[in-house]
Amino acid sequence: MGSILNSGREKNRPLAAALVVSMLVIPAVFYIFNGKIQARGKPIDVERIQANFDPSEIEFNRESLVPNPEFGQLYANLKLLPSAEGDWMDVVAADCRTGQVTRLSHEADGSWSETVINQDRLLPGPGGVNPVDFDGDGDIDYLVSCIGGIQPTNDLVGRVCLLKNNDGVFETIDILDSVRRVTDAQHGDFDNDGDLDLVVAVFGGLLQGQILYLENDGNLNFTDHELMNISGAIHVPVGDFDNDGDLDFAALVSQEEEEVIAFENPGDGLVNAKRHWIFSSSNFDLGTAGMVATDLDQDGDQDFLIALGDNLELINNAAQPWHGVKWLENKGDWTFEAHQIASVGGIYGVAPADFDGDGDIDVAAVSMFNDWSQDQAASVVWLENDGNQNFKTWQVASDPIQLSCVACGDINNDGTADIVTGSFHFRRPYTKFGSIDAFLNPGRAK
Amino acid sequence: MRREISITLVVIAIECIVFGYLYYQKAFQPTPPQPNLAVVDSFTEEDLTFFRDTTKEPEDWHWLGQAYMAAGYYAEAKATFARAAELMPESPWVAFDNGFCLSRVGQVVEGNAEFQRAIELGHPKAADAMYFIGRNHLRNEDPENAEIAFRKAVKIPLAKFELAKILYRLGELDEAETLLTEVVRAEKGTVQTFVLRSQIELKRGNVAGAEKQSIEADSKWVRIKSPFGEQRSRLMENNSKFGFYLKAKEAMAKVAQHENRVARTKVKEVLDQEFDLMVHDSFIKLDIFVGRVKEALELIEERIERFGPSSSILLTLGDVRKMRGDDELALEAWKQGIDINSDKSARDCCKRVADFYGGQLADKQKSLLYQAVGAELYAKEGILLEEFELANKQASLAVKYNPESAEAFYLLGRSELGLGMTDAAAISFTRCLELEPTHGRALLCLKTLEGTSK
Repeated sequence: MGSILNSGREKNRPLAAALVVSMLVIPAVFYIFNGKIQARGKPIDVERIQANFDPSEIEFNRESLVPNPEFGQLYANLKLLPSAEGDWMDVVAADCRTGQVTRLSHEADGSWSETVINQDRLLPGPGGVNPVDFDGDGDIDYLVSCIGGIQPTNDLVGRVCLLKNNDGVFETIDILDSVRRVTDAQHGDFDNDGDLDLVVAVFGGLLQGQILYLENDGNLNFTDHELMNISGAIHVPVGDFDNDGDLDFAALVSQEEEEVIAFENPGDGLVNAKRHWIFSSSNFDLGTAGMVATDLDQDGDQDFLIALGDNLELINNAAQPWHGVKWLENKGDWTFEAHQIASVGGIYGVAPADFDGDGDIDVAAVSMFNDWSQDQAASVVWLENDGNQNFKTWQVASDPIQLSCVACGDINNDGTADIVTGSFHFRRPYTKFGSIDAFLNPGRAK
Repeated sequence: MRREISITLVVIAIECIVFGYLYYQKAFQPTPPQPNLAVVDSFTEEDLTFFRDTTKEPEDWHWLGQAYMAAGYYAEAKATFARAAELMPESPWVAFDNGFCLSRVGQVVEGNAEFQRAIELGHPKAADAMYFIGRNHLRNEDPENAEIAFRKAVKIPLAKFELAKILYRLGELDEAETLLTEVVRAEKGTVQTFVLRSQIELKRGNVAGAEKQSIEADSKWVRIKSPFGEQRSRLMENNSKFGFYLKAKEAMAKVAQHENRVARTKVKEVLDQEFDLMVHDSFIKLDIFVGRVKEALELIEERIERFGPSSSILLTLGDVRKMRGDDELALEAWKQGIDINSDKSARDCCKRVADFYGGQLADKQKSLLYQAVGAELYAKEGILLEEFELANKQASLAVKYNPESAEAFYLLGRSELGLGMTDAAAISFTRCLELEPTHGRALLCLKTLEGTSK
């Protein structure tokens, strides 16, 4: 019996050995190859901010005024004005890249010609331009605010210049220099003495900026009054915001302040202007980037539209959920109520116009910092007003990208409001370059 | 024997089940998200793809999140950090980074939950996390909770400053000022403190006091140390560990080491991918250094074409033209450099122009004028940096070379003010106003001086 058992053991010995080896090898093999196991699971879900919107029912047609740019253009501001021929409108652009202010005119063959206004000397980073008959001699001069350059600096590089029209030859006159970066200069006869004075947004460098009032003595000599020492002033739109017959102005202040301060004219100029904080947010990251005055609800007083989308703190920007467009509704007596009327990442410029011809005021907006890693991310949108200031966002374009400024008007004289955009493309991605592009409104829905 | 075999078989079966399960877990675990790499250069694309494909361990997920965030793929970074947090629930560093990333995409409530977790897990920079919580409450238009958080993070001077700012906005000006005094004790001479003091005085209706603070603020340039600045530096550092910025760093290092041939190849490789200003600057310097003047000139022209003129590039353009013997063209470039800016390069342009005219007998007066402009620019710089002795010396030169310049007298006055010479300053401002009665800054300074003497 014992021998039988023994012979069975003998027979099973190789099997037993093999099993013992396997028992030891399996963990060893797993240990050795553990590091080389390739994960083949599904990629984890990514939750993204909404970057694209319903395509516009109005089919805007893109026309590039300066076609086929090979690299990023740096247009900081543009304005529309009637052309000499009175057909298509002209476009005036402040070009931070070249240091020039240019006027683009539509030619009979359908092309656009470009004329440099400041032929006598280059300007340091022209960031804002206003066509105006500044000296009252019947021709158009240009008021230009200069930021100094696109790189932030604390140096005194800002300037306000007047491109004075002397029978078609423009002379560049420095109205203000030795200040930090200037982002806006607006004009108005604030002291009712018959000449044009200025309000200036000195954005600043690090944290030193100013809001200035430049009083004109009638001979283009200006006395500068500092109304406020505050950094981050971007735009200073002028208007009669309290309907009392004189000109006031408001300053949009970013740079972690994120507020709008209105300066009420007591009637004799702005030296003793009363300040009203008409909008303020504790959100230092709100990203205020631009402001225009308009009577959006057509109730007889001036409201404001604010673009929210600045995001330059880090080398790579991120669209924020609060970016978009805010409407500050003028409720009278220097009270304003804020409404978010669109949420779109990286909005930098806004402009009002009636695009669908229904009598109410819609809004166009352009994005500099949407989430461009999404291929269809909107760069141009328009916000349709239902007549009661409820807005629907329509996507006009996702190409070109990185747009900083927008102006609206009937550029081709066909009875409908068009959109003109300016590109400020200095960050990734280096694709979908634009320059100055018109989005022509055919006046019909799809 | 049979029993032993049976036991072995059972052990093998258990092993198969356990290791099979472990394999399954590992092989079929979720993989990192794939960002749209078409929008970046090929160096970055290659490295991010490598990082993604080799992400296995929890630490890999953490690094991938940091790399995605540094490259600007915030949505992907957010998802990746969330997975890292699942895999390393006890890591305060992952929680902190996740909190920072969520804050960057505006998910402030979720971000705060992660910062809170980082604090509870013992993150060594708990006060920073609390400061970020306060900032997120501000983003969420919730100053009340921001105040609570900043009070907890009060050992950080910037948190104390934020607290002062909240109180200023609430109109509690005395308490705001007390806090501000404490901030000044910790972070002397910082620009924000003077700006906020000016705003407080303005809200009190003390215009003269506000103006005094404004003038002080004007010459300050140091900011209060910021935890956000630290995170920003970390992001930049991560950015230079891979992809385009790593290659750019390597290329510029080769230029600095004068390994000219290798440097040239590397710089070209980088610029073929993306036009980077710093790398392009290196390329220009390299070409000038090795005497490739024609190539340097082409690069400078390309640079102006793409980014427009600045005094820095115009200074280099002038220098290169001078090297080629095109003196008149060099002069034109330097003059444009002065016209367009007032920074250090503009000052150097002034020096070049003054030297140019100084070498020609007929143009001595022009040389003096440009020396005066240069001295004014140096004086401005001295005032900005509060180096008043230097500013005074330069402003005195500016006045000497061009006694008709109102700006020169203003700068002389400012430097004298900085040196405590108030009587002399008043004389200089008065002279400035005689030359230019509407000089607003001189008017302001004189008004402040008169207010002080009263």
